[in-house]
Amino acid sequence: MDIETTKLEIKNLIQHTIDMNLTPEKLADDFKIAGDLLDSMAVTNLILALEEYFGFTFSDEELSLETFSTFESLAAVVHKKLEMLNG
Amino acid sequence: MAEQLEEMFFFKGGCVDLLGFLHSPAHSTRTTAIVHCHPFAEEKNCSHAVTVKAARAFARQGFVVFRFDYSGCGDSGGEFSDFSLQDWIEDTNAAIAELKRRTRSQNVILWGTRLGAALALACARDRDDVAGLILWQPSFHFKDYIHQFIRQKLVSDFSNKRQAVSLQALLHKVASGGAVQVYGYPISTLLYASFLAMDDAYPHPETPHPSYIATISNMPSAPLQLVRDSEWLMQNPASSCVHIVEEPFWDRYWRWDAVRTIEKTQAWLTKIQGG
Repeated sequence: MDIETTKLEIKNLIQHTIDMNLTPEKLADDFKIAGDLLDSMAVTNLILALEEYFGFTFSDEELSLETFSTFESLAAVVHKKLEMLNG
Repeated sequence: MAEQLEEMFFFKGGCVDLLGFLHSPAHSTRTTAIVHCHPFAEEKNCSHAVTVKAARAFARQGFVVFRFDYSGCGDSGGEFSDFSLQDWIEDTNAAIAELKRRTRSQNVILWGTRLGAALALACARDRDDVAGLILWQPSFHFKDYIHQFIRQKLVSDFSNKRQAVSLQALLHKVASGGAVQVYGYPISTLLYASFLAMDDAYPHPETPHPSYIATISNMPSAPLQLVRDSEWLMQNPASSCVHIVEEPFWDRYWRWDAVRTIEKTQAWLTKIQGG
């Protein structure tokens, strides 16, 4: 899976787990996720959805504002974790 | 709509006086009632409207439905941080006793959402009057649940641009006598320890009760782990595990209905208890 696909999967998850009105087309790559687009309860739901969907667990260090800053930053972390998971 | 009476009162729980709310159909010959085990912390508040609507719907089917607040929760006595999961299981036993004292009910169906579903399971294990279980988006693993709950403190801190403390540091704090505040709910060492103790006692009765397990989300399929965790309950031929495509109602404030979830649960009740 390339990073653009990962980004789209994350946007799809946001739509299906947070708000059906937040379609991927409405979510620009540089949108601020944590503390802007989503409040902390929604970020928590997104974290659980990502872990369930992709089958990994975020480490303490990965749970940070840097990771959940934008779709670019989140996709980069998720993509790296998937690469490690799939060898 | 069939007539029903609604009555609020306080009764003696395992530790303190508890708020109880009884939904009674005006005319019914059923001797099986439904007792609700509410979810944890803010999930209780978020799911309240749906819980009341479901209770009224079940009462229209002729079931007496009893809702109550656990010790330290809602309008019941005590402080949230002073109680454990074992106390809340005792509260459930006390609620069933109070229900039987006030009505002609002989058996109960325990109905729980999220952590309430796990408490319903734990309570059912030691009783011989449980006719079934309704488990909405159950959280079967107590330890995982409380760790995910405490993790919200970390997420809340970094989302709001505050200095975040690691999950490991938060767990160390709560395990060694210091409370951790998560969305205004103080998780005490006593409460935390009770979650860890319960995980060791994960309920696996040899013959599971007839159970209705509903996973609820906008995703097209159920979470795989939850389906796997439900497999042992499906050994009972009257059990049913369904995925309902509907927006969750326990983790957001704007969801006041769960029409499909309520209707499908009513259909299962009719199947196992008659029309």
